[in-house]
Amino acid sequence: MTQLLSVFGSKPTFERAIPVGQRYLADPATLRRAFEGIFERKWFANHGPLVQQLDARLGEDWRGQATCVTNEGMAVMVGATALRFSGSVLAPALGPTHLTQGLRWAGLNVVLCDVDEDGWLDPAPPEDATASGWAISVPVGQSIPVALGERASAAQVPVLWDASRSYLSAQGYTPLRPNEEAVALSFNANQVLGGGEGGAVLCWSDARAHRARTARNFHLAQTFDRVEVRINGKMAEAPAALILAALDALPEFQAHNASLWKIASERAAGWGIFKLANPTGCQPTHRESLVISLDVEEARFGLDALQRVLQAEGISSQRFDGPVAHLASLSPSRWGPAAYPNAHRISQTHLELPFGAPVSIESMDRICSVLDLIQVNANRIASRLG
Amino acid sequence: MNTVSATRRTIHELAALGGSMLFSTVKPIGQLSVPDPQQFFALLDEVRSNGVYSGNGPMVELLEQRLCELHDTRYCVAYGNASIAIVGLTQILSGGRKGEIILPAFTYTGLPHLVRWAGQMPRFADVDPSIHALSAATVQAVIGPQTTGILAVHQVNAPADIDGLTALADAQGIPLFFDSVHALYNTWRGRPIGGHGRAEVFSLHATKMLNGFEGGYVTTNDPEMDQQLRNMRNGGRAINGNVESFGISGNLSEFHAAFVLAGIEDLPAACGRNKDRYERYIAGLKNVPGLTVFPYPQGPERLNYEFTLVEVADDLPLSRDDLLEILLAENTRTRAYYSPPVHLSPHRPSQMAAPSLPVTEGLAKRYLQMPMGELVSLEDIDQICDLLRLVLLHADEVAHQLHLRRGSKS
Repeated sequence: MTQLLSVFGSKPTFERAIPVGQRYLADPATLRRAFEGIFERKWFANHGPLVQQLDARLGEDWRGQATCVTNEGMAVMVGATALRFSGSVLAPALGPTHLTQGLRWAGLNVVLCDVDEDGWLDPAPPEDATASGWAISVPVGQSIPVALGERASAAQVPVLWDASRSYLSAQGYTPLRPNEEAVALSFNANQVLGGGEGGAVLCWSDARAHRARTARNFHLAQTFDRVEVRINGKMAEAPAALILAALDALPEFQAHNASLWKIASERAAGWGIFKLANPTGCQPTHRESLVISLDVEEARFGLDALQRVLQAEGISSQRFDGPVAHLASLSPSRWGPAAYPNAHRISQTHLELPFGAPVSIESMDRICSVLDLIQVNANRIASRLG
Repeated sequence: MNTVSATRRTIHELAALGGSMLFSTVKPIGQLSVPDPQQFFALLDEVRSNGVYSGNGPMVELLEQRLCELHDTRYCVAYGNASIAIVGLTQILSGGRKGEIILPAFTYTGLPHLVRWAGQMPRFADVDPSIHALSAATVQAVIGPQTTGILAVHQVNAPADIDGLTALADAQGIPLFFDSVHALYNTWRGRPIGGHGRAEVFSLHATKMLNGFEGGYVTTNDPEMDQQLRNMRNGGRAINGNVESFGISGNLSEFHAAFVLAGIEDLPAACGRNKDRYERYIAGLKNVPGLTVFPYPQGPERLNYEFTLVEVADDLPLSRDDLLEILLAENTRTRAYYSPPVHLSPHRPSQMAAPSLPVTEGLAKRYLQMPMGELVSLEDIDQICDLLRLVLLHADEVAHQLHLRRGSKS
């Protein structure tokens, strides 16, 4: 192999670093029309017509009632309020940072559980008598499983599903207990439906939806229940315009993602030290990320070295250990490989790579070529960087 | 902005008494500025070209620079909205210690809720009658060992007692911070509001002086506070990308930042237009007995003239709330100014103490917050003033008719 990796002195594959995150936007003309409409109406915030439209559209798509909010963290805060969580809540040791943080802002004591090999909350003990609810992060690309909902039902606790990374696969979900479940969504720019920032809470009963809608604002006219602590968590018209336009363009985004995935999955057949994470049952058009796992023993180098090599090539990457580090900083005595072995293993082996709008078909091919090259140069990387 | 229908000639034409509304489009109390669309669309193109839509992108960075210049502070950290900023800032300043935050009750309904989100208990102090805001004396009366912070609110007509509160906070070793949402552009002793206490919080909500659809920011001169605020808004993520502390989802998106940037140059002119509106109210209500426009201070300080407050005498046949009902019926968003006060609001967090605050409670009965901002023309104000003159000229009859209508409705 005569080709060199940039980390060993060659030119980077990409001059401008390709970011992680889907960053889709609808076409400029559509967005321009949407913003001109806002300017004409001069209704920029406070439950404007586009937010009402988005609430209705999401409600229709999910066959529930949607409450759009500022961002995904706010969705967790409002969702926990809607479900009347109190005291302790079970949450995964490996999941998005905003989930555990949102629960803590809601005044809850977060009791961490390990995840299973697929990244699902593995509540242990599952019938923790002190937990008033479960907050379950839906692993990227996964649909919400009935089985876990049934376990929560048996434990008689409400469930907040965080589907911030799996909008497409989770969308068909029908809750087992409409009054005891809610879903938190993200419209951060890195998700497939991006509003810059944004989030939503899906509920399936009037009682829960009324609490969510009341919790997100301070307005008398938008008070539908007695909610002890409220916040300005309203979505403004600008993100609503972006998300509505993205919903219309979603088939186009999905088709691009499916094409990217096809390339990666074909090229992955030749990889030995990497494995492409392939969520069970995820439809081709529901791909929302590109995650690889590294066989650390076989490679003899870890994620730090791999990220360094990728960064030198202009390929950004994102580890799954943000929450891990956060939780470790909050509770060092409780954190460690022994406490949450699966979460720890995933955090040390899985890496998210660029996917979505910033990645062209040609770019994906080049990213895969870099992975090929890393594989060929594994010994050298291990001896120099490992 | 030609939204005015025929002037009221008789009281029977009042919408509150069954007539049609004076205004065909709503007359709000806030600013609702619209920047030059072409300028915004040019920035939108830039956002698209940058390929960064949130997470402290180039537009947010540029906005923070511009806001530092506006406030003459070293640091500015943009947030998704002012509520999130106050929650995050309160958490930082209390350092995780549970306790009480001292705040006024003569303010907006949400403030004690934000304190609760930050795990603190609100403790209300009365306000000084001359400034409608906290002073050292009113805070001293409630300060105690459980106090974890002082959250003072600048009013549109006057800042809080900055000198007194700063001296008190320093002496007691308690962090002082400000909700400065209504003091944007205002100066105190010739310098912009923004650099006092540990930090000050401003809003970019559409009804405020700078329109970002939604949004907020915090100003400070403290480098450590700046870094803490940045980590906080990014979910506790430090510069190295690792989550190292407790944080919140608080990023302002690039789209919001671009919208503010497109309009920020117009800020001085917008304040000038507000001054014109305020002066129009003064002229229009000059000879209306029982109504007095609350005066902005005269002098060298820069003011935003964001609100026009009208004091209603308590010896009129019509109460402040009667006049409010009449103005609301005409399709205005006139408000009873900070009424009820927060500590008496039915929507306050229930665990809070509701002490007697005589000055606050007295002020909360007095003022109407009049229609203002970019959607209110000088002609609209003439119409509102004419209407109030007509109503008060026939105050006894209007009061009687309102009474009859309420009786028939009930």
